Amino acid sequence: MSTLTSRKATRFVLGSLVCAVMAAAVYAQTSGEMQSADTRQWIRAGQGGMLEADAAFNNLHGKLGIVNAGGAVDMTGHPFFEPIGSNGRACVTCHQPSDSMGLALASIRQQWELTQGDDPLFDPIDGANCPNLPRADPSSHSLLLNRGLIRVGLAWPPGPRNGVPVVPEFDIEVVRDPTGCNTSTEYGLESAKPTISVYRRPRIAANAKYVSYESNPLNAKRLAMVVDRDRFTGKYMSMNIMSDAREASLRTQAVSAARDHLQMQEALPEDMMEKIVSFEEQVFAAQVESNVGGALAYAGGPDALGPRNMEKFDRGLGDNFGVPLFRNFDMWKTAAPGETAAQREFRESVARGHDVFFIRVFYVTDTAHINTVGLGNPMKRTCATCHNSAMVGTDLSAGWVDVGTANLPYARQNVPNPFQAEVQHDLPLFKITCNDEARPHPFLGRVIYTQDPGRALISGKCYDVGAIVMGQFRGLAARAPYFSNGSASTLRDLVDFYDRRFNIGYTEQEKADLTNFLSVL
Amino acid sequence: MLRKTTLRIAGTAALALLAAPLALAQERNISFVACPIFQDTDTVPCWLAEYEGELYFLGIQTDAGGWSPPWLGHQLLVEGNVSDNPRVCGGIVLESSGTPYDRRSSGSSAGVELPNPPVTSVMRELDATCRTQLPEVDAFNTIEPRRGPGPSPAQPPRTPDQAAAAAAARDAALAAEREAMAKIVPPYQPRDYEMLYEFDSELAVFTIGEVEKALEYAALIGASKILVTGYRSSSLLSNGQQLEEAPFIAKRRAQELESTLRMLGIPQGVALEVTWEDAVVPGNGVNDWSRRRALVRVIP
Repeated sequence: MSTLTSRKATRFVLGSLVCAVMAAAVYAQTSGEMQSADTRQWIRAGQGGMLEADAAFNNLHGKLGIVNAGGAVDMTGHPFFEPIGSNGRACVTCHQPSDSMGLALASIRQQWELTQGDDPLFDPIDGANCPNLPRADPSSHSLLLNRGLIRVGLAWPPGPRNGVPVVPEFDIEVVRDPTGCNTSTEYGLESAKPTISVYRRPRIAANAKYVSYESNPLNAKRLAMVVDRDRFTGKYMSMNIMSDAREASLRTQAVSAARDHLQMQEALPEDMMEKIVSFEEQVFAAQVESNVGGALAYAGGPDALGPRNMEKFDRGLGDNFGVPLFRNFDMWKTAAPGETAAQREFRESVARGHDVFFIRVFYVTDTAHINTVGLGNPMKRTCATCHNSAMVGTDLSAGWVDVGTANLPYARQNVPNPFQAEVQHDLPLFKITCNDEARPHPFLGRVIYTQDPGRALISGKCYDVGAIVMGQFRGLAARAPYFSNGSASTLRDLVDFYDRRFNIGYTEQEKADLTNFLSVL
Repeated sequence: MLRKTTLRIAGTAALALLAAPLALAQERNISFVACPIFQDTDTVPCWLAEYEGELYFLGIQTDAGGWSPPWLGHQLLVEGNVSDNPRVCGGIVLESSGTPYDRRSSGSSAGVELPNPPVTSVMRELDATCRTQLPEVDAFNTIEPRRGPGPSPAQPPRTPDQAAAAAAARDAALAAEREAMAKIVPPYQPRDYEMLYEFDSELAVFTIGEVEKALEYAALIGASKILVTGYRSSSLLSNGQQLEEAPFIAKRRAQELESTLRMLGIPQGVALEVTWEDAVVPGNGVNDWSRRRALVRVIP
């Protein structure tokens, strides 16, 4: 399948691939298993050409498939692909088709090597750890180059929600500021425009119908909350797009991203906004081929796989045996004609991994917005209880959760010790102190240390500290690293996090099976 | 003299008769604060609590609605009645009745249907001593939950006839609601919408839907005012202690409702007044949960 059809694009891609191999070699030394053979097909802002209706892109695990349900997309003049702001970026800069409409660390590093940091992706406004750092110095971009993180500067205190002022229930202090941005007199908490900088992975701009939809106004599961309203349509929305759910809809997200990430000087014109949203609503992404398992989407195969099936099915609650959220993998439990031994072994592993995800029971403990919403702490359930939304594994309800990726003591961090001269901390650390009348964080109390307060920076609520909206499980193979702070370098890291966090006691086989399962989604 | 004494006795008897239901209710009622205990079984866990040397069964892990199982890491206020059920997971079975919550059956134990769980409130602050998680033992493997620890049971897809019937039922219910609203004619009357809360909570998780009804009524009658009032109460525990809610909770309940009403949209021309009463409404040990409330009054 071809992807970029203009001659210009083809030349660019060939050039990119050559340079990318060099770039990959450079980084192989520093990144362990990271992407040694992972070359990416980068789409530059404004390069033009066509993005085909069906496109496929290589990654370490196989190929990622993109489907444009509306047919091939002419990228020339399209506001998703053109540098409509002032810094040379387009939406596509951080939402690359090859990366499942997200942004893989492999791509980031490749672009750094290719351009020596000159790509608009590295614009200091949020591609650097802080805008006041020297652009050409890789250390200025260490969070982007090492973890794939973009700086997100959020006003503190937060603005109103649905027109109603937000009064924060807590004080926030900067405990550790390795980037210098939160204590900067120009950009920090004490600046003229008090701002908190957190660092997050771009989320995928695909499969939108599964994460952005109209909702009931009241969400009992999220503590009797009124959900956010899309100011363009007046509809109450699902609140599952952003890591902190700060944008109600694809429309409001497009407007704020054009302003904040593309540095568009004026408001995003409505026609551009609609064209961006129309594109996002019709693009689907999922892994389509496995290096070992072969084709993933074929007649008679698992019908959750591949982007055409993402287009075909609809959202729904999938935590049931009637229509399981990732449907059915049983056909991979028995041999099929023409399979190689390796293919057979892999497919069996994936089918077992599906079962681990869907029916393997463990104790979910001390997780705000999971154990607190009606099932008790701990609750004895499966992965599919929380990751319950059909085809994508998000939460069908507004899905912010403090699983411990951002809050101490569970968040990954280097441990100070007497055996190393210097221990590097790369993420900021904040101290949150809840006021006396606040409802405290249910499992951390009134004083919380966090690398990213998450939803609480928008809601002002103590019980939201560290809560992050679940991300889609699709196209994972194409967009390492994982979690909003990039703290899991690989799918196996991600599985290991849960194994440790919930003391699950997965066997090595279960871990391998679950990793293989995630790699084909 | 005799007449006077007779009258006094008669009066006392009358009072005693009046008080009898309360006394009876209090006899079966039990209210206490304790750490919850997680007792695993081969299906879903039981939730227990110990009070004065006796073990009580509260409920099982369920998503049947209405009852939120306890949280380890926090104490729990238990307000319920002793049921006639045989012990479950070693505990005397507590129940509640008359609550406004939707409490569908969560399952059975040894073939006996489990009753509605008691009213429970997770206490607001952490308590690190509440961490008892007990492993499965054969003797307690009697729980048949409506929903096990895995995904929901398979349900065959609806037939077209069933789907049509369900849609028709929904439409009929909506039409009935519209019809009922259409029958509301002047002179309009004030209406109260009540929100109920867990102890020390400002989040009306199970009753927040009343707010939408209040707004609908306000819009329909062209109300002049919506008056929100938050209350604070206490729960009379079985040891005689009055457990009072936090001093600020009436205010927080009122403020949360104000925020909810504003986010949902106050109809044009309707004034919103928000107030609260910090005085404690004392509990009497029977259905004290019903005094943890706030009111939204829609005034024509």
